[in-house]
Amino acid sequence: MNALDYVVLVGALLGIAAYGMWRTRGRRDLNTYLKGASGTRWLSIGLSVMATQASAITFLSTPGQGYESGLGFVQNYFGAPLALIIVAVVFLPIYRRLKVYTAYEYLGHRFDPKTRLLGAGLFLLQRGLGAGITIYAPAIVLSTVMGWRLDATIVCSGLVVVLYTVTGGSEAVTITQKYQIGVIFAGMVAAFFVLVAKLPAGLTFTGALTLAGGFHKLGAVDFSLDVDRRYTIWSGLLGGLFLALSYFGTDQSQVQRYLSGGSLRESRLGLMFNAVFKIPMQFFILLLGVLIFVFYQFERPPVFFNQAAWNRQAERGDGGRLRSLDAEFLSAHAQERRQLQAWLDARRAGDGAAEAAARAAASAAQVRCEAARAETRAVLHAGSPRATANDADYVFITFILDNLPHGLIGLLVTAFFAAALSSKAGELNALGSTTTVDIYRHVLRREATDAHYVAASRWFTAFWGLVAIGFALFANLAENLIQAVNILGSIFYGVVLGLFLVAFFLRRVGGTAVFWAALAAQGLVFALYARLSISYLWYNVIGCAACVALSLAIQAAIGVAGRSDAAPAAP
Amino acid sequence: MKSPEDDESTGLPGLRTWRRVYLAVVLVFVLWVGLLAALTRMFS
Repeated sequence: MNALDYVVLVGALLGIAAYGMWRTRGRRDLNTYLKGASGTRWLSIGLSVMATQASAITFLSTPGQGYESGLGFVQNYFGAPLALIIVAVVFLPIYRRLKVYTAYEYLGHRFDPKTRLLGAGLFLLQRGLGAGITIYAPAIVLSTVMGWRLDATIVCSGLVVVLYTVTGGSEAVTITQKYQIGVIFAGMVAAFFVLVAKLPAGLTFTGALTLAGGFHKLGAVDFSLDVDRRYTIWSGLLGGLFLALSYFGTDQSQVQRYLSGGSLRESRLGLMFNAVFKIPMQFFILLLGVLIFVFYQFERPPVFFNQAAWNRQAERGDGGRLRSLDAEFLSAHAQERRQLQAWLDARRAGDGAAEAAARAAASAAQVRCEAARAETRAVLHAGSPRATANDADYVFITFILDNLPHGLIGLLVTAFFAAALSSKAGELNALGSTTTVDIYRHVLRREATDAHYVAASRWFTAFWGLVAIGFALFANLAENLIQAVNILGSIFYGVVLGLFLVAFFLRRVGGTAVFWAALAAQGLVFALYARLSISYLWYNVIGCAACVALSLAIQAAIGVAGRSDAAPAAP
Repeated sequence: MKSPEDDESTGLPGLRTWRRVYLAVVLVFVLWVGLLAALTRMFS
């Protein structure tokens, strides 16, 4: 990065943050601080929901996913549109009618205070423990590639987001997210056009897709019923629906975004905006990765995209083995490039037999390349077991730094930081609001002025921001940490969704039954997690199903008397 | 389940009820999946 890139980076990030703070200066009204301006329109809400979900790692890692595995990952989002419709039809009108600040307040209306505290507590535990990851994950990748200090990267980006989130609350988050997502889209579109322009002469966009298809990178929809396959339309529709329903319907970081709407109409249209554009957005980001794959068939890629890790290990004593693997990779790649050129020539000449032969030879060379890459990964992992063996997160940033002109490099790095800040802001805002509304105001200080609660919310938001920065600074587990946080989310999400499904659809179940059912279900999930080795995604289903089933069973056992604690405000 | 706000106009030309909006979103979803399936078929 040169001076121009740094001007773009610092100017855009600080400019957006400063604008958000200036627009929301002097806010003392609790409703505005927690829910945002009453006139917020659907497009702002839609972009805010999108920006909260899409973290920096989405834009850093997803192209790497496309590079490695193709378009199949897009199926994971197939459940999202249906889930968003359910949220718009069922969840949203109830939240708005009760004029709640947080989703967990609704549990208090529907059941009782202890169930509300349980829902809020589970959210704070899960989000609070994972608070640092949104800052840590992009910081580790960007600092490694750029040679920046990791702690300085974490502290600088963390303090910026804490500053404007604390100052302006929900309104500042919505305002800044709108511009941040604009920067992100501009960066992605610019990268796309540079990528297409850099494809070899004679290789059209359609030709690039044909070539990618030849390497099985364009399998976007898989109708297979094989449960061992990682991404299929069925797992995407069922698992994706379940996850998206938990996330959009019960996670305060999302609920707070769409409750900021000036009316039910604005909130609903904001959700429908995401229902329409979520799949094409993910497709586009994956397609970038596929095109980078095609690009690197004609340009020599590094044998391992995390070149800093490769260099470190090479200096530690595995240098001979790593260099020999690099040479093998180079030779296989050169052969593959020759065969691909022959394939293109044969295709242009309409020679089907030569085309098939060149394509087969290129595939064989590609297998050699992948073998050299796999062995390099194994050597790196053996030499440093804590280091990641997965370099997919480094594919896109390597392409950007090596191939984009200055100025655009700054724009793309800004886009990654903008994504990190926008999702972090949504999380901090939700953590601060939940702590204020569901814990402080509900339990500790029931009667106070709006100004007092706004001040308390600012302190709690700052507290969670500092927790996040501290966690990110002391986290030293690389990608294992990301997986740990995903596991953590899945362990709690199912039970929280179960609480809300019982609240919405099982009117005869009261607070005592669902409270104990949720605790028992959470205990069951912990116990199963300790004993089983199934995919962590299943804990979403198990937790939810256990919570619903146990609620019914306990309610049946305690009978009508146990329903006296059920609030009459059932939907 | 239905509140007065549910009757609020969508403000969208051609999609005056929420039922129609949701139907349109489902149709767009089916269209995306169809296009992706066609892409898969075309380049496999």
